[in-house]
Amino acid sequence: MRIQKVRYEHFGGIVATEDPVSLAWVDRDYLRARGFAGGAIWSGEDPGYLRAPLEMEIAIGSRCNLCCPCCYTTAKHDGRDVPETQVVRALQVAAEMEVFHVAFGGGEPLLHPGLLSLAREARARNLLPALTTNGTLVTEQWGRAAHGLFARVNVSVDVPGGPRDPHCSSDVAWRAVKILRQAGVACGVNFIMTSRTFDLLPQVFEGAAKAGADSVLLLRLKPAGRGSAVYDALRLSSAQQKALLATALGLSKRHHVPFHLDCALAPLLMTAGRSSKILHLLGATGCIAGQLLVTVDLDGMVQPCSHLDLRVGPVEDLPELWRRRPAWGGFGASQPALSVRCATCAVADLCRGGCAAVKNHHGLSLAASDPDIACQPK
Amino acid sequence: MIQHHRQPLAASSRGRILQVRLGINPNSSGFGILYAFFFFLPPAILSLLVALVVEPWLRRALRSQQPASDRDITARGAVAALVWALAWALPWVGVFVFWEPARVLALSTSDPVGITGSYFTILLLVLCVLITLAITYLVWRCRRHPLLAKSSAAAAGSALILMLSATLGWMLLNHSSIQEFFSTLWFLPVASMALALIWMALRLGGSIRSLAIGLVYLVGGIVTLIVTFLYIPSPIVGGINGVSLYFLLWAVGFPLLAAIYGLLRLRRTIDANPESTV
Repeated sequence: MRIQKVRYEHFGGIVATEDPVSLAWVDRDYLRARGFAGGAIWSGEDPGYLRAPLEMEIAIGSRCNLCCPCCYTTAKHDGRDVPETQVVRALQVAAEMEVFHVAFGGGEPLLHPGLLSLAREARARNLLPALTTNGTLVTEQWGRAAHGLFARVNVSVDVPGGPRDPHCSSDVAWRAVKILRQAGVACGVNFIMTSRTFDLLPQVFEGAAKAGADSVLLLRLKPAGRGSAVYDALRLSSAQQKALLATALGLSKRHHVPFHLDCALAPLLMTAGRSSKILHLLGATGCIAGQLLVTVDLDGMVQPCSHLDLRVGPVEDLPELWRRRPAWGGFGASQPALSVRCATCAVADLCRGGCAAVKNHHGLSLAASDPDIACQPK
Repeated sequence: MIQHHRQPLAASSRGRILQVRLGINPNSSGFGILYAFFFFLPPAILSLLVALVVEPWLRRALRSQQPASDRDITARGAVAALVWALAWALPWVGVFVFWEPARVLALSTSDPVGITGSYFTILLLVLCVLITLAITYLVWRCRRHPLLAKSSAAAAGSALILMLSATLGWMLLNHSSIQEFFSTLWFLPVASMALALIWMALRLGGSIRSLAIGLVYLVGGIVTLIVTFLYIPSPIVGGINGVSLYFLLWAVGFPLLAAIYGLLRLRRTIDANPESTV
């Protein structure tokens, strides 16, 4: 285990490690006993929020060589690349704020000619870069270059009948996973679940296991980007959501492949009877937009979440913006004022009422409960 | 703000791990639930994993990542603890080693101190061991604190130098004959300990705040001891030579109390202001 960095927070600090990648929240005594004297934040009042985000997602382009109908973005063949200098500025801000992780997104990151250079820039600033790719451009040469540079590369997978560009074979994704794993890159697969592909989960886990993926990240279809157009028709049904955990656990066990749930699916697990002790210990979170995560769009503007059109300000101003919590609207609130359904839920502070993008899609405020999630408030 | 730090969950021996997030998010979907199967493990097993796997990993990794200044402080603190222990223990070991030959020599000359009982010797040794352990423990407890590391290491180092030079001077003052020279050998550990204690009490504990007062105590005490030893017939008090009683109070009693009081006071200060640094 190698320490990436130690960031002091009012409660103590966050110790970020690499190999394995982890973030450990520790109290002041823990750090003090190990020779870390703390910082000015230890002597001030508790600001009620972290000193900086944990991760920054940076859009580096809007070009993509595929056109998946469920994509969270509107990336297309004739999109544009974000200038490297603009991305480096964002990286510099992230480094100065002691952000831990950066994810390169936007369109297909591998289409950006400066991707590897940007990853090196991130590493030079002690930031761990990660990305998600459709896998079409992953070659053995790229895999070797990515090794030691990216902390994680996930490949969006397709299965027959899946949500990806119908012109792209799923074999492309599995091949990319194999190449990356052979190159020693930490690599998992992303899978956007829809009502039509839910039953294909066994194929996804089986394919992941065969390709050597280290995990499967299960994503909820969101009404963002091109996904907005198909969301209402393809979103997971209540029955599918209720069966999700048991299904995923069973498949994970059968194929020995761990799985993750994205933030929009978090309420399902949080209300599944797990003790709050475990939820806290393992850092379960629902919507972390503007709390632990910020995104930077193609124009260098900060947003709490890339699935929403809420620009807070230019990334260069992020340190100041971060302290100005009202600028983030409802995302800046310490405790969300949630509606009746979630108000009495024991995990409302972690879950924050479900996916903000879904609420926005239905014209609901941030305080409303996610109407499409089939959780049972605790 | 998401309150992840409300409940300390995984206790370590010193400080607590509040939360552990494994993995890195590769896209804009947030951390969500990483490694969901972990959530279905029994809480006791999870706590055990954190305590037996994560905590040792973190501890080892952090050790190599301490800020340079803090590493330095820790190293100096450890040295300070060692020097404190040695400064306490060695003189008493010296007493033990030198006691019998010194006592024979002392009896054959003028019995300068008059501490002749073997029970007293044993008592003295037991006392010295206990004191050494107590002092070492106190120093060890707060060895990583910059305040202790800085002042203690300096104090201990100074004390050792003083101890050697003053003892040598003390011996030279008394070696009018070979026999007397050897008879004063046994003062070496005791006088050394006295000087070390006094200096440490002076620098570390703050019991003697002024350097001048400390030096006066040190030099004045030695001069008084020499004068009384050489020129004033000592009364016997309770079977013990008056000069030796004075010596014990000056060299051991007061410095001992001052040092212990100073360390306890330092510990209280550290508890009250854990972030304070020098």
